[in-house]
Amino acid sequence: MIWDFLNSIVRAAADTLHAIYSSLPASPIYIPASIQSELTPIFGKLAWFFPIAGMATFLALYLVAVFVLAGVLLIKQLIEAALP
Amino acid sequence: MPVALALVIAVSAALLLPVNVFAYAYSSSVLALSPSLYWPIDESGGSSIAAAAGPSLSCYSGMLGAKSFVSGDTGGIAGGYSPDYAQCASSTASVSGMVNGRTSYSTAFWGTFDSSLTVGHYFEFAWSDRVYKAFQTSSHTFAWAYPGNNVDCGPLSGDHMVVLTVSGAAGKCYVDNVLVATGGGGTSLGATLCDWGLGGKAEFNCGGGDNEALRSTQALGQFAFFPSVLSTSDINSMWAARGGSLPGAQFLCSPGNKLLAEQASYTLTCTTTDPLGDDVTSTDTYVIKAVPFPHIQCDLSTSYPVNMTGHTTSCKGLIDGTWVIIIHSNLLNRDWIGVVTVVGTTNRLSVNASPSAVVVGQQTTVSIFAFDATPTDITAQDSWSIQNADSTRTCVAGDAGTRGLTQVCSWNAAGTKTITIKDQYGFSATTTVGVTAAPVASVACGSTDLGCYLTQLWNSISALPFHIIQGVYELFFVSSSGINYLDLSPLVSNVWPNVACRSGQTPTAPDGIHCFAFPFSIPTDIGGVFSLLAVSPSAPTISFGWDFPLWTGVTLHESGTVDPTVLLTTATMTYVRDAELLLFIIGTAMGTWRILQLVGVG
Repeated sequence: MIWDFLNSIVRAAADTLHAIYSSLPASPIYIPASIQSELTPIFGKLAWFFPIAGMATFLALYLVAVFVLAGVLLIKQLIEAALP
Repeated sequence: MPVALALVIAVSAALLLPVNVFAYAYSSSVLALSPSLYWPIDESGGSSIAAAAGPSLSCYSGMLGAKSFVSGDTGGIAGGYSPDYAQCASSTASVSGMVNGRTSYSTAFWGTFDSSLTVGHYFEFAWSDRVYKAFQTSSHTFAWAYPGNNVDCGPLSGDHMVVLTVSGAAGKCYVDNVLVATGGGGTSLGATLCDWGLGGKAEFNCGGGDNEALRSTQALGQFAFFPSVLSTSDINSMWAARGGSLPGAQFLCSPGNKLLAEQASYTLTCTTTDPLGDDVTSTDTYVIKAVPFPHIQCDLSTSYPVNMTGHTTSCKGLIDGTWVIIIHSNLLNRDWIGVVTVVGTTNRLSVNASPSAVVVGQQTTVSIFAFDATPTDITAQDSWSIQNADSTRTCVAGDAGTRGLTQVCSWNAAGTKTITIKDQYGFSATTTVGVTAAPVASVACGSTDLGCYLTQLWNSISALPFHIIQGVYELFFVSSSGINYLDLSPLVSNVWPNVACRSGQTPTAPDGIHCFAFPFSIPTDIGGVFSLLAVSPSAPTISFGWDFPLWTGVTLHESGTVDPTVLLTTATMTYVRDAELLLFIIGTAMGTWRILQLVGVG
């Protein structure tokens, strides 16, 4: 009985989430499949000359690191400002 | 198709006819056959008859009354009207479809007949030199007549549906859907219809004369004239509709159940009838939808579905067993299912115990199912006996009913018991019976055994707390839905919301169909960009073509392909890209350092 009750809460929460999310739109910033199929061979040839994949990977990691670092610094400054 | 056909009939009739005419099934079935004249005679009073086809009629006053021949019919020429020459007629001289030398025609009507009458009259159509009519003769028979050519429908009594058809010189009489007589028919209705009448003698404007007259017991209704020879299925459709409902479309193949010897063949014949009962087999095509090949083979095909050739097919039994054949009617979009039992030497004899699970001491009836090679069911004639020894088994002869000889057996010990039998032809069969221990009856206390009662009372009281705890535990912790844990799966499936993808968008959700909703989609959107950039390198091979016109008027053509991998191999370019990547990383790091210096972060 207790499990029925708890599971009913879970289902109610899931239904609420679903009701909220169902009003959300699909992503407006996607790359259409048709464009992707045209760009793929071009990027393939460019990648023969330039390290596009490596640069993209590095750039992604770099951006993540920068944002994390910025966040840490921001928190640190907030804490220091709050201390007497 | 049945729905469409019924709809067409309904719409056509509804557009053409008054509501009361279309109100019942029989009139629908008549109108579906396109009569030139149709008087349902639903009037139960007055002196006029409305027509569902052709002109209306005026009757002698008092001829109409409450008389129902078919379901929904409310009136008719009631009979019991005494004056001779009483009739219903129209002044209209000709009706489309009834004139101009027609040699094929039919009438259908319902009447109340009395074989004891010597004179009677139902309808009459007159032309200058001939007459088409239905009447009662002095010989107590009912006949259709063109001068000199009669069809004797025989002596009739009571209410009947009579259909008279004429094709050239051949006439037929159907009574209640059954062909009862054939005879000579007229050669032509003639060029001009002069007069007609229902119920009594027609007033011949063409100069003819007749002596028949309406007699008291003859009631009449549902009269129709058709400018064609009605087929058996046409008459079937009217007869089937008399009860108020149309017979409905049917798709059947025969035989539905077939007992077949191994390697023997039989023919399946399929027929289709439309909602009015007409045989439309010739317009239907069939598909042998499912046949369990290689156990059964139909139409010599080894794979199914396959289109049936014509409306019959030959099926052959290849492997013993009971199998199902499914045939599809394309016209009705309906399936038919047939059962074929193939009997070979491996299942010529089978044995069955009912019930197959018993307790020690309980009886079970052992019976057989036997076929000969034809195969014909010889169960009732076959004799058999149990072959295997079992010291725990006791069997006696059972009743010899339709299942032939039986044995009633019981066992005095539990276990899985095997029964092996052999019949008089030497075939063997085996079955098993599950025998379990008989339930032990609880021991009741003796009437004076106080100690026994007290012991049982104490046991009940001492067990009470445990039972209460167990009940409370089950109340709270045993789920009625059977899930005794926290099921987070509904939540998990909704934590990362997904919606229908946009046009042209590649699905991003794990189901491969939906896309993550915005803004939850941003990580996958960025991932899409990176996956585009992280493409495998491919060498940019270049093809060229060159045309050089010479002063001689000849054009030189040169073409070729430049493949950079000849010099810059994949290994070489890997080193180049690694170096470029290193420079990019160093450049990014230096740039970051400069930015940090500018913003003052140490």
